[in-house]
Amino acid sequence: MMSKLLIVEDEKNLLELYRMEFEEEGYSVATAESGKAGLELSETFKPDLVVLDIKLGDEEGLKVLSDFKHQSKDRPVVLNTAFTHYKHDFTSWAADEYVVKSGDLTELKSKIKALLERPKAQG
Amino acid sequence: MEHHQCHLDGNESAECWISDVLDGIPLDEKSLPIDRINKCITCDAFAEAIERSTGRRRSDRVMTQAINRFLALFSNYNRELNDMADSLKEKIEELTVLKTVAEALLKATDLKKGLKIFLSGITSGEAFGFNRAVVFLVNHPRHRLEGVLGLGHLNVSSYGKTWDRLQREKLSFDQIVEKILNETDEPDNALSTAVAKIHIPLRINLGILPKSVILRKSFRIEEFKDEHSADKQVLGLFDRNPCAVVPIISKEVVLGVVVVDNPVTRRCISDEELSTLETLSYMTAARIDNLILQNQLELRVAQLEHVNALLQDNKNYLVETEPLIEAGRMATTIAHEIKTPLVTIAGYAMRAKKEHADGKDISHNLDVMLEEISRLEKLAGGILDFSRERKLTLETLDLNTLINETLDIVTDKLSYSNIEVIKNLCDKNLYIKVDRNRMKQVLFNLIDNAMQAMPDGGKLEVSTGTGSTYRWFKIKDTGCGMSKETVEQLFKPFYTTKSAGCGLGLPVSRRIVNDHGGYLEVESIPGEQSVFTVNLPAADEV
Repeated sequence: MMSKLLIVEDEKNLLELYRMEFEEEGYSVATAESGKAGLELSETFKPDLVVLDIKLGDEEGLKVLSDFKHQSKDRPVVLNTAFTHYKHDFTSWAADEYVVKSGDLTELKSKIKALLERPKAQG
Repeated sequence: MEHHQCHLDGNESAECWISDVLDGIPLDEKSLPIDRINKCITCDAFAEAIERSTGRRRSDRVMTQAINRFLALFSNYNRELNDMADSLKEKIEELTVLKTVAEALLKATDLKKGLKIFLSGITSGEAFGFNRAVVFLVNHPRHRLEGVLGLGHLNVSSYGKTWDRLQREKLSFDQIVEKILNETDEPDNALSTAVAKIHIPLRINLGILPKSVILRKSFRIEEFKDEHSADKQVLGLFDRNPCAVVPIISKEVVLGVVVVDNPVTRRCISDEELSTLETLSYMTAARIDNLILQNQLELRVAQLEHVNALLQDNKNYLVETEPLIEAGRMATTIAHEIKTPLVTIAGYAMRAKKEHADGKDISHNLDVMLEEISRLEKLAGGILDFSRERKLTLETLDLNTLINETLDIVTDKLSYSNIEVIKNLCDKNLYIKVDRNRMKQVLFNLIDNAMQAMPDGGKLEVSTGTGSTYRWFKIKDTGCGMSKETVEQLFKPFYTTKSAGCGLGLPVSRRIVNDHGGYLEVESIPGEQSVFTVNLPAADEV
C-alpha cells in the first residue's frame, strides 16, 4: 500500500516541486500552505509521515510541530527548514528528522524512506 | 623691736604673732591667713599666752575653754570646706572635659573622624590621659564585635617611635580636634591596622569584650590575662596591662565597646576614672549612633553609585552594539529570504535536467525558475532601497499635482485589476518640500499595497488635506483589512502576509516619510478596509 505524505510548506513553487517529486517516488501526497491547514487536513488524510517547514521568527512553527506530535505520537515528522540553527533548539528535538532545505532532494527522500521503514514502536 | 620667730613653722621668715602681740608689737591682720591660725591654735605659745591672759576666776577659765573649743570647731569646718571646694573644682574640670569632647564630636563629619575625636578625648593628657584607647563596634547581622580604630602605640617597645604623632606634638585637645577635622585620607596608624583585623563573636565565654556587650556592663581589671579573652590577638594587644572595658549604649542598643589601658605608665585605673569614662560613653553614644547610621547610608549610596555606573556602562555598550546586532539580524533575514527562492530554483533546475534527459517538456520548470528569479530581483531592489543613501533632493511642489502624476502612471494597472479610483483632493494647492522621486515611490508602494489587499477588485480612495503645519494624503482601500497583530508587525523589514511581496515596501516608505520630517499612520478594520495616512510638513509657496 502507498505510504501517505503530508507536506506543509508556504512557498507554493517549492510545495509543487515536492508534490511532483514525491508522487514520482510512489507516495500519495497531500499539501498544505500553513500549519493550521496542515493539521486540519491531517485529520482526514491520516498521513504516515509529515514534512514540516519552520521559518525564522515564526514562533508558531515549533508549536505546529508539537501539535502534530500531539495528534499522533508515533507518526514521524521531518523538519525541513532553511536554517541549521533550529537543530540546537530543544523544542525541535521532538521531530524525528531534521533536514536543511536544499534544491537536491536526495537527503530528504532517503530520510523519509528510512523513517517509514522503521519498525513501529511497541504499545 | 624685732619680730619673734614661729615655733611650729620651720620657715625662719615666719613670725610668731602671739609672742609679738605679748611684747606689744601691733598685729598686722593681713599677715594672718586662715590656715596659719589653724596651726597657731595648736601651738604651745598660743596655749601659754591663753594661760597667762586668763584670770584665776572660774568663769574666766570656762570661757577660755569654750573659746578654745569654738576655735577647734571652726578650724575643722574650715578644713572640710577647703576639701569640698577642691573636690567641686575637680568635678567641674571633669565635666568641662566631657562637655568639650561631646561638643567636639558634634563637629565630626563622618564615623571615623567622630571615633578619632572620641578616642583623642580619652587619651589626651588634658582630659583622661589614658595611654591607649580602642573602639570595637557591634556588627549586628554577623553577631560579632569588630575592631575599628585605636589611638596610642601598638606595643611598648615601639613607644616613642609610633606614639601617636598628635601626642608627640603636645597639642591641646582643641588643636587635636581641629587637625582631625581637617585631615583627608590620613592613613591608619599601626594600632588601628592591627585592631581592624580583630573580630570577636558575641558569646559570653569569649572574654570581657563580648561580655561587656552582652551584660551591658563595664569592667575594670588590674591585669589583662588569658581569662579575659579567648582571642590571641586581643591577648597580645592588651598584654598584662591594667585595663577597662566600657560599653557604648544608645537607645537601649549596644553599639560597641571602648577599651582603655595603660601599657606605658602601668597605672591602675581607678573607680572614679571608670565612672567618668562611663559618663563620657553615655554622653557621646547618641552622636556615635548617628555617625554609624550615616556611615551605613554612605556605604549604601556608594554601592548604588557603583551599580548605577555599571548599568550606565552596560547601557552604553548596548547602545554601541545595538546597530551591529540589528545588522546581524538583518543579514540573517536577508539570507533566509534569498535562500528559499534559490532552493526552489535549484530544485526545478535538477528536475529540468532529469526530464530533459528523458525527452520531456521542461518549459513548466523554466517558468517557475524565471518566476523565482524575478522574485530575487525584486528582493534585491527592495534591499537596495532600504539601505540606499538617504540623501534627499528637495524641491517645493504641490501635493495634488504629485498625486495626479503618480495616479496617471498606474491608472491602467488599477482598472485592469478591477479597481475603481476615487479622487478626493483638496481644492487649493498644498505645498510641500520633498524629494519628488522618493515621495512618488511612497505613493507607488502604498497603492501597490492597496492593490494586493483587493485581489478581487474594489475601491481605492485617494484624498488630500491640510492642517496648520502639516499637509496629508490618505490611501484608503476596501480590501481585506488587517488584524491588530499584523498592523504591529507591518513596518518590520521582511514581514509580509502575501506571496508576491518581499516585506520591504512599507518599511522603506515609512523611512522616506520620516526622512522628510513627516510620519506615516495606519488604521485598519479587518475584513473591511485599511487607511494609510502620510503627514508631511507644510512648505511656503515658491
